[in-house]
Amino acid sequence: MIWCSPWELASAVSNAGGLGVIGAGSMYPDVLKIHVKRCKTATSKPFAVNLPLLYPDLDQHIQTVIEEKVPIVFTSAGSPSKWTEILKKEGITVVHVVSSVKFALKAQECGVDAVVAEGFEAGGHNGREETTTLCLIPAVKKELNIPLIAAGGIGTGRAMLAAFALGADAVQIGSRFVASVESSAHTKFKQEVLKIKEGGTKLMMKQLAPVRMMKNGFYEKVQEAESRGATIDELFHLLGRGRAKKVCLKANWNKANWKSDKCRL
Amino acid sequence: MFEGELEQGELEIGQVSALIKEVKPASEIIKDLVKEYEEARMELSEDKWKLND
Repeated sequence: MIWCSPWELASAVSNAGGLGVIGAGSMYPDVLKIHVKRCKTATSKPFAVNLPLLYPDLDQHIQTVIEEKVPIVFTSAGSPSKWTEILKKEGITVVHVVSSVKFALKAQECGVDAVVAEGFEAGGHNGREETTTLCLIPAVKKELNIPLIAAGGIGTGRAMLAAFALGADAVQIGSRFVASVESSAHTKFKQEVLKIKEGGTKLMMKQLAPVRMMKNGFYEKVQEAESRGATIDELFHLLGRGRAKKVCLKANWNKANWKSDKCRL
Repeated sequence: MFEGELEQGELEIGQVSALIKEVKPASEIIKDLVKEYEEARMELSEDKWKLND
């Protein structure tokens, strides 16, 4: 929910009986602080912050969630080994996002309170294994001893029921809320989401960091690069440009991090 | 996603986007989800789904 989940959306979801999550991956440290403060005034219910662990100024984000006493933190895009203990010492509930049984068990070993297992259907960063939610959730359920939250492809009540049938204790819903009034996605993007049809998204950049995206001009550039066998460096450059210029606030994600085994995206 | 650059931006969204037909307030989305969930749960409790008598 990078770019899409400000305090307005998180507090609205919490007030309506869900657990709203502020997406910190697209926010400067001082911006996150404002969103957390505003969220606290907009709801008396618990809410969470999602911290992608590859975020360049992660220390500052961590400091914010501790200082502001955010009750729950969802960590993703990195190893939870370092931060789980630090957050838990502060009384924060830690949930880690994974896309495989292997990493679900690693997260459990690191002491997280719950795991989000996200299947192939999900938008944004995705697992290399391409395991669908239908196969991933029962597999994780078999091995995991802590609460399991299903994600990926869940945007309807029927899918929620299916996830519970597969063994999930809760569900995480992202894409549906991109097209909410409170989402900070651009109005034009929200309208575009309504036009997406079956097959309108694709998992790209599997070499670098698999990401599911809407098919558009940028997607075509990535596809062209991938089909002619572009190197990882070329793809990184393309991704950096696409994000920095048009989408993202900050393009200084450390290149080495993207390739590191530790920092699975 | 934020700036509205639809052609050259990297627009991250899941497969379930194909089922999204309306921009709504979050509270209404949640109401719809719960309603559909409860309806589906009732459907599954019907006898026709019993495999053993």
